[in-house]
Amino acid sequence: MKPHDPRRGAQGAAQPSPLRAAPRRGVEAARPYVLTWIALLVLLAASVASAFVPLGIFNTVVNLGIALAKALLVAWFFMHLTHASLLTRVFAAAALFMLVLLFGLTASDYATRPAAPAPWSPP
Amino acid sequence: MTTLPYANAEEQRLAAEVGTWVFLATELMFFGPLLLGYAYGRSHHAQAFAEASRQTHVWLGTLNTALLLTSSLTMALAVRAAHADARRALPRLLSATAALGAAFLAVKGVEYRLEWRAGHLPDAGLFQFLYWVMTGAHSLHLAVAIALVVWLAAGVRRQSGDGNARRVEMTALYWHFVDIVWVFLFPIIYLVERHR
Repeated sequence: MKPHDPRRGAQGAAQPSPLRAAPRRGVEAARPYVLTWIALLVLLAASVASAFVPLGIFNTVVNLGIALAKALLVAWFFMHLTHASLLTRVFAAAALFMLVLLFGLTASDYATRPAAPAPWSPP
Repeated sequence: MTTLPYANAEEQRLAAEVGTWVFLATELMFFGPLLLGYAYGRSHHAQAFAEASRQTHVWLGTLNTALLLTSSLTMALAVRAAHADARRALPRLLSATAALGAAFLAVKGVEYRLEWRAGHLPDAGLFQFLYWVMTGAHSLHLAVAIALVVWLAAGVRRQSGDGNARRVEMTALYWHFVDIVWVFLFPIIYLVERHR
């Protein structure tokens, strides 16, 4: 039981309140977090090392692939997207969808039109 | 702790969680166009971008990435401590998180100083312009995140129970988001064409 805090006033829960939710998932193990962190650092090392090897277009593919893998590790394990509500996941997916629209529609323009630089534009 | 206007604490937590993610979605819309501008520049001025990227300080960038990834670990452990109501561990983990974030900003400051002296200013080219805007916006976000974490660490002993755990949890979501933004900025800034 936590010590009573006078500052919590009239609605402070001196005794267990039915409104207080039970902890969502007991005390979790710290191990998955540490393993995630180790994986992130290994991916960072792989990303930097691969950049010094000439792989052509695959330098970019590998680097962005590793960044995506790191982002998913953080979102999945640190941000608990696995435990998040369906509504939350819909919003996360909607944000990514908007980003895909932004890139897709813009790329469809730039990729299908020859660049015609203005005389004053930098090379 | 009152839960009005929510039916119960779980509903209140869900509202906070969804609200935070909606905020993060708008933040993605803020960084997205910058990344789009970068994609345009990289595809249309590949040589210039490769050349400019080689002049960035890749080892400082790598150090900063490691610092930020580690800060996400301490932040995630802080959320765990908050749920377990661990009064001693929580302020320590939050302080460690804020310190790692501050170390990132210090290294970034050293980099800015080096670039300023070398004349790699925002008007040097599209890459430099995007570099300063993207890293500047990211540093600003990180500074806000650090302020939130310091505020939590300072108030942690005075708060209690669920309300505090929720605050730590929502701040952590923002912290991890700022980390993820950097995870993408790192390769596109520092690793464009290192092998030449």
